[in-house]
Amino acid sequence: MKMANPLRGEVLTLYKNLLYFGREYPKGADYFKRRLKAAFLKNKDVKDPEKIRQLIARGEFVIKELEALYFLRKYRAMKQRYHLEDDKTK
Amino acid sequence: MAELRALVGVKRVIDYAVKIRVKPDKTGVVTDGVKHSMNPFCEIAVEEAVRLKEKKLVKEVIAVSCGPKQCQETLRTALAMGADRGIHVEVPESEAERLGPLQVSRVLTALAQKEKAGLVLLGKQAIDDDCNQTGQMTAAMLDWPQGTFASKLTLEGDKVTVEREIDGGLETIRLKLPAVVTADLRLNEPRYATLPNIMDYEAARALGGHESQPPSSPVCGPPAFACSSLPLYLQLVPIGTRTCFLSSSNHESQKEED
Repeated sequence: MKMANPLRGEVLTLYKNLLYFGREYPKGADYFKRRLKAAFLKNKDVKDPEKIRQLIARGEFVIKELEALYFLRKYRAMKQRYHLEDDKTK
Repeated sequence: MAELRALVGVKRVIDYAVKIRVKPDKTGVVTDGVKHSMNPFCEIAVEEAVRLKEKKLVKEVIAVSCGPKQCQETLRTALAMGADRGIHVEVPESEAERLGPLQVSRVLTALAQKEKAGLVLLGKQAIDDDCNQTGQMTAAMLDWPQGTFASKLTLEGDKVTVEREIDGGLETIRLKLPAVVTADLRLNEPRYATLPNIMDYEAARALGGHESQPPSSPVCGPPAFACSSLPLYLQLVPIGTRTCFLSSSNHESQKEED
């Protein structure tokens, strides 16, 4: 029996956080969930701690991107609905 | 250390991304099984209050939501964004649709006085009823100065400078605290309520960080639904349709048609 990877907790937290962020994904939570699972499964055999850290960092970057995407999406929707005059002048 | 307490109103509305449907009898929109979230302008208000707290200009941020049980979800989001305390003024689902800006401003007035808030921060309007009245009425009832459509807010001592978005420009006003400020879209960029924060809140709630306030309690006075308004007829209008003023010639041509 092999020992659990010390980074296991971090990876799980990342997965949970990404799942949570995926709930609002424009193409649907299911679509996101499938892609997310595939992305994690693809790297399931990575053993090198350095490589795992890099992958975690990439996941955290994706979270930041999603956050920015959601903010912009909402901002644009609000602007379109409530600031019609601005679009006309610009 | 600042002694200022900020009261922030948060409303639970149908999510902005949901395509709304009108009920067959045209008296309202379908809300069952529809995704709800915090009104985007309330998010901006919460963010501003939390930023003021982070700058140590505000001591405590209290989020308030009026409505049925599910509003606790909205309060949870506010707490995850950084509010210290949530007050849920519970209004049963059957009465919730009669809850309008007037009723909510009565509740906010009572709570602002009870909690000794120095700043009431609200969204300029909700994206469901688009009333844009709660902030103004709350200010009137408290007899406090108001800064509506704020796109910038600066606190200095007992004064608050508010930059307001008005037609064709910006207006800067200075208010003496206590005051009511309503947030416009450009005030800030609200942070995303992340999962760990929401879970932290669950833990905090177990320790009693959350309270419920029935609307008919002496604090808030009678619900007074007598003067609430209900929609008579709702209708969907395609996006892009704009309201326009009829010119006098239009009026005349209309008369002729009549």
